[in-house]
Amino acid sequence: MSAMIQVNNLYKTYGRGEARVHALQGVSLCIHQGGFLAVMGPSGSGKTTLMNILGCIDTQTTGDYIFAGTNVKRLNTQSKVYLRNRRIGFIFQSFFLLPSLTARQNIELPMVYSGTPPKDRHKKSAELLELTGLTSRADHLPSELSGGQRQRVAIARALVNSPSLILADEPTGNLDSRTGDDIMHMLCNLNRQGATIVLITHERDVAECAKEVVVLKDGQIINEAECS
Amino acid sequence: MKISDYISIAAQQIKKNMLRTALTVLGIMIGIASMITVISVGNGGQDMINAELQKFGINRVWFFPNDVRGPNDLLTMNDVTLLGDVSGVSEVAPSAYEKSYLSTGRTNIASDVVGTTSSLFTMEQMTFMEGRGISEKDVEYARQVVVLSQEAKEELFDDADAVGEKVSINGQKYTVIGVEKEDQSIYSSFFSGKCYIPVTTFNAMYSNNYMDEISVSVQNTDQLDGVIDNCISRLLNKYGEGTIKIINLTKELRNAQNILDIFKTVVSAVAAIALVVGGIGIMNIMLVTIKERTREIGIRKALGAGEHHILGQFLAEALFYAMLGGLLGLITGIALTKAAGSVLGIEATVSASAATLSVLFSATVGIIFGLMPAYKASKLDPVEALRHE
Repeated sequence: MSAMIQVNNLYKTYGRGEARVHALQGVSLCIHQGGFLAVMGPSGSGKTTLMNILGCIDTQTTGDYIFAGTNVKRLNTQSKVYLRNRRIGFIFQSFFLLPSLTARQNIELPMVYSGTPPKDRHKKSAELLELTGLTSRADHLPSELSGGQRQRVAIARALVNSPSLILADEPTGNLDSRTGDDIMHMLCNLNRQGATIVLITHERDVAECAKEVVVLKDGQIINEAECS
Repeated sequence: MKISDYISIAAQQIKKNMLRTALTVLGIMIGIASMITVISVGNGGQDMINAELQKFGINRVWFFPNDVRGPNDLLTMNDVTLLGDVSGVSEVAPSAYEKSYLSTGRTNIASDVVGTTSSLFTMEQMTFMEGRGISEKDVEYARQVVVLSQEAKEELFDDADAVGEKVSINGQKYTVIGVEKEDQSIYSSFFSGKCYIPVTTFNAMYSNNYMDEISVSVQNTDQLDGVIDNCISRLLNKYGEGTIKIINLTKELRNAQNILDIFKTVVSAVAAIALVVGGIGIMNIMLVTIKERTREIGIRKALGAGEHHILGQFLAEALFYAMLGGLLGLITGIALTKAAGSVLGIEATVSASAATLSVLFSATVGIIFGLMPAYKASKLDPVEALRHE
């Protein structure tokens, strides 16, 4: 198995002088194609910073992040935009759906930016609505959906451009435990079908279905998960 | 991302905030409407004044014998020929005046009788209630024909047709060949009320070969000064300094036009300021919108929107406000122009170029004032934007 993601000695520092915060202090990890890595740790441990860097919306201060053989540091803004749009799918804790768009329009949004023709957009969103069991809710606004339904819309949106990597930042954090189980079940299924997933959570039972677990504390990994 | 995607995003936002949209659009609308109205009514007014001035003599100059210092017996038909030879001159019209009595046998009236040629009718663009003006043949054969003023005709013939009827002037029989139509222009109020006979007939009847005035019109208003200088020097060479009085309204009329131009410029500047204020309104609303939608921008960026997508999205929105304002302003401007035109009695229409210009102008305002906020939005850091509440 080849390494899909390789992170070497990643540092991230915010602010200057007295207010300096070291969010990441030498994080190294590795995720294989088809892997399922859970990143655990208390709040303030640097989980979200790590995810933002993995998702190419933030940049590390030092260290290397190699995505599918490419060092992201060397990519320009436009290439990173391309990576976010085509190769990475985001799932956020608070869903981050656009409130003025219907479920279907939210799912189609990444395809708008990838330049997919409207006809193909509708076909793909219909497929994903079916997969997530939301066909009957397709034309509802997020405010008319339950929390679980919203997160399923967000998952569908993350999958729409067939990404190589799915980043899920506490996807069950805002859901009751039963709905949370449903969402986790869905992510596990996706992983079984070959998706590479990085899951951020602070709940041990949520992390159970992951193949590997790393624990972050104060910006450092306190258990090792080396690449083989 | 397709154009239709940008339009649909902009339309969605604008529909969501109807009141905000209406108020934002209002600024541009007022600016464009006032600009269109000023330009259109101004142009209509200028056209009207120009037409009046043209009749009054913007392209004309009058020569009179200077009766204070020299003999009144000065200008003759020879001078008409002399001035006609000056290059650039279009018409030369002599006029000789006498106060005379006109009679049909039943009614007698007193009127100015003018001996002249066909040139005067051409120059003054006279129109006729019936019949025609004096022709070259009338002058050549010294025919006993008369063109009556509207006033004289009404006094002499009442409502009946006058053309073909006989009128006696100083005891000589004349045939009426036409009746001048008085229009309501400024010009008519000065010069109407005269009866015209061929200059040759006039000379014979009054045994007087001298003209009271000669007026000259030029072909091209731009060459007016040069042509008139030539005319003056010819007459002065012949008769000497101080013998001729000259009336030339050009300078005064040009001043009048300059004043009109200044007025138009000032009012247009005020309208332009209104547009700039409208543009600032758009900019303000766009900045507020972007602040409110910071998280949305973060989400869009995380999902793969490039800077150009975000820039385009907000620029499209600003452009939408401006164009909507421009379009509504155009419609309002057309209505205002019509209303103002009918109140002022000016024939004012919105020209296609004014309409195009106003739409382009509003689009430019939209782009200029939308660019800064849109650029700001496009440069937002996605992590910061996502964290924004």
